[in-house]
Amino acid sequence: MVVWLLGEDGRRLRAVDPFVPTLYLAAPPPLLDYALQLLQRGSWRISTRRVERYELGALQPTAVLEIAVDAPAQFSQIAHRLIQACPGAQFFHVDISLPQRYFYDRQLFPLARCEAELTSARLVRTIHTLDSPWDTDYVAPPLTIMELSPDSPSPNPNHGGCGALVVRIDGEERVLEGDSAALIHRLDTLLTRHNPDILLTDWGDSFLLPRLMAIAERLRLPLTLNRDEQRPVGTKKPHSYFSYGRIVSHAGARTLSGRLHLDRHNSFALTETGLAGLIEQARVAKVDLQQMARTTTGTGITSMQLETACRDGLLIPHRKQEPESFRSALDLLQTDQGGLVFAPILGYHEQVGELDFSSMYPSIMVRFNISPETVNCRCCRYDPAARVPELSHHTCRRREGLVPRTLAPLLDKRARYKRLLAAATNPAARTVLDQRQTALKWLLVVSFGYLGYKNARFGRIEAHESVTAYSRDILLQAKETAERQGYRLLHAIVDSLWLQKPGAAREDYDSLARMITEQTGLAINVEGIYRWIGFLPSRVNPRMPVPNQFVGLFDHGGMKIRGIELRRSDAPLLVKRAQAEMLRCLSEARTLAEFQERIPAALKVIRAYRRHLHDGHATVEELAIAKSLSRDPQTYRHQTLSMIAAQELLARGVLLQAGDSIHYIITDAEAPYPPDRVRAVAGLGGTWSYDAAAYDALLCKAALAVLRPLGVTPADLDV
Amino acid sequence: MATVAQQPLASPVETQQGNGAVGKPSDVLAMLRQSTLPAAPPAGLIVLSGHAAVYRLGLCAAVDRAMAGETVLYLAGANIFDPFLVGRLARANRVTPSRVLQQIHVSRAFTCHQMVRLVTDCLASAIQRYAARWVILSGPLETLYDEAVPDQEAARLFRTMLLALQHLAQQNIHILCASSLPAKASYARRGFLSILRAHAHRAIDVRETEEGVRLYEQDTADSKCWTVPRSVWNRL
Ligand SMILES: [Zn+2]
Repeated sequence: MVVWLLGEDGRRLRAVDPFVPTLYLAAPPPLLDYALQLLQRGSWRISTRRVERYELGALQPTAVLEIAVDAPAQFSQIAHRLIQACPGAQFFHVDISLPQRYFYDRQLFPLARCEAELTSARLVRTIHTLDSPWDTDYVAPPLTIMELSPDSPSPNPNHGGCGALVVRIDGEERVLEGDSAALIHRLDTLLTRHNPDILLTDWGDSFLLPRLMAIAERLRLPLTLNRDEQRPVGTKKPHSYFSYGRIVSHAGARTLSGRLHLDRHNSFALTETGLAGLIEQARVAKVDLQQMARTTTGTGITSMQLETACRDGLLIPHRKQEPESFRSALDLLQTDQGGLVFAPILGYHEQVGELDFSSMYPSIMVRFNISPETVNCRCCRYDPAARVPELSHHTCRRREGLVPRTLAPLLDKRARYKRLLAAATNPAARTVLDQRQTALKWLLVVSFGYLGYKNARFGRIEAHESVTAYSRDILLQAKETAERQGYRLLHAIVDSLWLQKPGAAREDYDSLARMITEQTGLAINVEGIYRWIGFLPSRVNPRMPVPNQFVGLFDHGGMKIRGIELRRSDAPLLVKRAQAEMLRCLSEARTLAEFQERIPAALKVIRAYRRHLHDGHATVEELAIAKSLSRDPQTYRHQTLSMIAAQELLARGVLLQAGDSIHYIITDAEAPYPPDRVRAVAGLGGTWSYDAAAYDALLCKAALAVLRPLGVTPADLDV
Repeated sequence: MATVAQQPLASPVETQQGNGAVGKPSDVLAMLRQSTLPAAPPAGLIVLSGHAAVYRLGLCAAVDRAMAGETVLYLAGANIFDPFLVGRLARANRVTPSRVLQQIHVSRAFTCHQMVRLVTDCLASAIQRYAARWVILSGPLETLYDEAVPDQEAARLFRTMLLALQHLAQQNIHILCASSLPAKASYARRGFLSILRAHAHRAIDVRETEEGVRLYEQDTADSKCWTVPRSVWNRL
């Protein structure tokens, strides 16, 4: 395993740690003999032995063949060969990434502060960390960063309209023009001179690096993107996959050796939690930074679970094959209800408090010891205290499960960050603490889905059902406690409650929260007190309430908005701006009476936007609509607006796949000839005009979403 | 049960026989019985494929058989099992939802390995245990389009599943596969659906048209077509 070390003297060292990963195979004797023959015939550096290991929750050990691979580079080849040749065998430990295995094995983690002893040939003799992934006061190493961005007005340079290359380092910015030898030469000089630890790019994975590498290759010029010159740049092709019933596209990847490439436009973690958050996730999850930046948060939580299992010496199965057993749809409906929701009482309300259980699902898993191997254990079958509410399941009261053991330190660390954040005053320190706690929040958010059963290797449906059953029971308890204290429930959704009580102040809500925490054993906090909050109805049926769709003004002046255009990625900027400005205008109202008085001013805002639109002043930025393609545009012939725009891009030679985001403008929604209906934003040139009526309809819809509960009608919006 | 209004449609390829349109939600089930799911044998493999409406149609078929007192095994491959639709259909036909829900036995598969294991190892014993004659596979191929699984592996799993389905179909079991066109699949896997259709006793194509959801069956001798009007479909 190649390890890069940053010395205290500032030197960057490449060292090699002789790491021997293992894999396991269980099979009937003839098949096992066949596998052994196969291994002997291959020219692999391995050693084998027969051992016994446990699977998670198993009462008896499994007899397995342990294969230790001396050359980790051969690991995946060996695993692949065996899996192909022995489809009847069961494999373990075969598909965990080797850097992760290395981290688990050596008890290291990315960017750990460590002490290493090297031989003169730079082989690692010993290596151990000096800090813990659970420390909150660590300092990230002093990494140098070079930024690369395309100087492009287009929302996505892959769709056209790209310009020069912008390079930023040490606070200086350079613009490199053209696609000639001079460009490559200047970039290579900068890379050599500054030798950055991180290349932070915009569109580096899908556009910049592939393009730069292609130019360098065409002109046969050196471009030292890698610090480790013995290795090629890691390349992963773009692909798309299904996740939670939605198709998601991945832009592919260009990963470097000895240096990190992070692409701001191809990283959920970086976008959501910043660099400090990404580092936090990589440290606790033990997933290397380039991988953590590009993967789903679920990979992080899965890695944490795998590490716990590895530490326990458990076998990690290759794939989950066991399907759930058949049961009646009635039974399914009763046990798999998900979280509890109380539909909102429609319209605007005054003086409302919101209480949220913090990290409810993971906290339930920890508090009630819910894990695949603890649910319906043999030892606690008759213990009434082990029973899960409503269901016939129980959880173990004797042995702590793998999932709770994995999640408990994570919950604890996030709580510590939140306490530090509350006490911190320095703005820079606050930003870092907030990014770190957000990073942990995401790991906790996905923990239910991943440690539940869907994608998890150790998943189990009964564990998933137990968590939601507890959550329903706890929300119900909270509701009843609040009602006993004289509060009225306006809305509740899984782990949040909106309550109202005349005259109740912040202290009253705080004391209610303490009461509920004491009773349920789960921490609940006051999210805030709203001066007013409006629960908004369905667009189709104005009398139908919709969960989690509201606008509210907190007593500290901030707003919380859910479910309306302002929060939707596909709403044009013009619509979002109009809605935001309208809400800003309404937010000056401290009471509902004042709110009513502000309505004429809000209407004025909308009318001004409508005029702006009809006068032809709206810009491309204001009009662009972003949509994710639900299918491959090459094979889909249905003429939706986004598909028409996709066809336009395809005709221009742009590569598109399902899950990609495209941007377009509605030019004439009713045009008989489909290509006249929209235009793609990328490379939008020449003369074009927009469909004012189509955008006007969107604008009015956005205004009415907020104002209709107050009696405002479409006619009131007229100029 | 309401009867289906017989209405010849304009297209020349359609015969009078079998063509029909549907007026209200409870008619959908009757139409399905006439088209895709004859209550009487012969049993065999039926494939409903095309537009994503196939999943709902598959569930409608499950409800129809359950209301007739049959036990139905329902394999949810695309994680699509909507108990609320079952409830609505039951109520539209004046039957207590819980009665229908009890007749349908569900197992959900989240990966192709689970799906194939379900078909090859679990289905036969479940058929015996519940004395079921009807099996609905909702999205049997969808899990196979997962790109995390190599082409070769997916093809092997597909063949295994197909063999098991053919074997069951010969045991006087009614098997209905509801499979939508892949949103995304490698070239090698695009063929799965046509192979499945080629091995079916009946293959019915489902499309969305201006009028609603259209079922189309090309037989050796003639072709048949049924339409569920948009107004009815949207109320399902
Ligand atoms: Zn126990």
